[in-house]
Amino acid sequence: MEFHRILVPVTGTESDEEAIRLACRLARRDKADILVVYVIPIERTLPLDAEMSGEVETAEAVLDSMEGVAAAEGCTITTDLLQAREAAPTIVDEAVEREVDLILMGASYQRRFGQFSLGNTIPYILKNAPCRVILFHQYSP
Amino acid sequence: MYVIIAGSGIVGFHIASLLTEGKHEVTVIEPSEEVVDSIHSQLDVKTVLGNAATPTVLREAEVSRANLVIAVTNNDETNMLVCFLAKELGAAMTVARVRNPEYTGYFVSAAKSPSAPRKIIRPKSLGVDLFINPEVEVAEKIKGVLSSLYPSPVESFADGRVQIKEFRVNEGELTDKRLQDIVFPHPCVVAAILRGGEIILPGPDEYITMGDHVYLVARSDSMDEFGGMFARPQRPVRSVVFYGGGRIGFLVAESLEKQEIAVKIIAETNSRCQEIAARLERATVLEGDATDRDFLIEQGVPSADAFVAATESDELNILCSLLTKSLGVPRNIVVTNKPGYIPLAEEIGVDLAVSPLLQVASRISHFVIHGGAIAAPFIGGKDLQVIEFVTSATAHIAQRSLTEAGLPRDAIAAAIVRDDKVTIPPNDSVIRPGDHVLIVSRPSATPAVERLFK
Repeated sequence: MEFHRILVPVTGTESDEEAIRLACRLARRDKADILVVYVIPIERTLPLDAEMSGEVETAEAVLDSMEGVAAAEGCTITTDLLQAREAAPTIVDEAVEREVDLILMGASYQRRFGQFSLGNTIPYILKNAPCRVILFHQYSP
Repeated sequence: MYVIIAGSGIVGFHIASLLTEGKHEVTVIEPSEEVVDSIHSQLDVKTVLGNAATPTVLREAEVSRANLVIAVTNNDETNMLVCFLAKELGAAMTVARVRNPEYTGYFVSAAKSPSAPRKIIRPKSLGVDLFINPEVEVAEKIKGVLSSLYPSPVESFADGRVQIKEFRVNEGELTDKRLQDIVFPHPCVVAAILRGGEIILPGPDEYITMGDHVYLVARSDSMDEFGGMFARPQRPVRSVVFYGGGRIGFLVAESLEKQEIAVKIIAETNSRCQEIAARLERATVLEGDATDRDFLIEQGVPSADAFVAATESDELNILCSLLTKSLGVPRNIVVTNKPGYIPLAEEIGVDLAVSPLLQVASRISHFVIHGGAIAAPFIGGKDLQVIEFVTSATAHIAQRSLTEAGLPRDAIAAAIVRDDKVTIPPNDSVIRPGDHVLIVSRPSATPAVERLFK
């Protein structure tokens, strides 16, 4: 199985770093490009073009840190910053538009109402992705 | 490290000079033959004659193997173009001096449909990894000093959790005591002492004498409590007078206005006064000469809490600042383009001399240090460097204690930050990957320190 373009959505959680490391290992093998995307969700009370300076700053810090992680692995990544109503469809759209052949995303262990939960974004991507998806589950002892 | 500098004005020349001192390989690109000759006679650098914003010239400078390209010509657009081309031609890291804030902001691109996601266009996509603006850097530094009770510079590390601050010893309590006999209110490290223009890395037996500049590392939240041990706190700043209608004065005045601090700006030309008055809402703008004692008294300058001289003339700035000090203004700050004037100015009574050059050098200095350095500002002129390393898993120092790793003689470890825990002074526990380690070192010892973190 070969990958030529890998999309890694990040959100600033601890699983992002591991996901990037894994993407770098896969990319090195196949000489693939890695595209890292951070999506800033915009509330419906705000216009989609709203200036979200605080969120942009946080996103920039996360993307910078991901570049650092990739550099330590000997890889160069392309980073993109998007703002949209919902993260999940935006990631799927981006995967279609960029013709990626793998979405690799990290998931932290989270509980909702006492049960393990994957949230809303991951199931949507798993269901609608136009390519293969690798879900990296962050081990939290 | 191989560094290319495009433009050899005051900033470019001094950066080149600092880098050659650090034994880096430097190439300067400059369009003027006369300037190139002058550089050759003063610095041990390679030069390329021509316009740096052209691929031919950049290739001639071997941009493809450059670890760092610094574009500091006088033109923002040229600097950005140099960085863009350099990045495309293979440079690893690019830095541009850009004064216009419009270029360094983010903007949201147009979308295909009203509900489609918007791409945020980032300054980074222009091929510039770091934008530097000397005037903004200096303005930030001046604002920091004006908001503190002690008119001395401060640098922050580890997301603002640790600071190094310079205190001038004016109070008698601590003088002629050995460092090990002084009881400090919180854990701290006296990282260096500047005495008679010379930097000392003190041991526990070192004495503190009147007039010393003490560089103290402590947690940011406890820093002001140390101040009272060295000097008398000054009253909070409620009114400031600026001399010089340049961008630095304007930037600081604009921000002070928002904090309800009364601002007076003295500019020398009527047209500049009109321009400033139109852009600032509450500031009083005066046309005059700040070397005229009667003018200063007439305009109520002696009752101000601080005086900042930021004209283009270093000598004039120092002179006016001394004049206002003699009139009773408690704090005075001067901006100087010649770093060599800093100790001299502070010796003769200026509270703080700030150099845009050193600010720029401090901002980019960590790029030329290997081993995960994320900040490396200079303190005490350019004789001491404070380096914040983030320890990598493969670093020589990882999984060893500081003693085991063996720091060079001219360097000391000042703090270790692990997650949210700050350890000052650092104990001899094992350094783990991810730890932020703060090292205070003489520039000559920096390569040896660097090797420990590689």
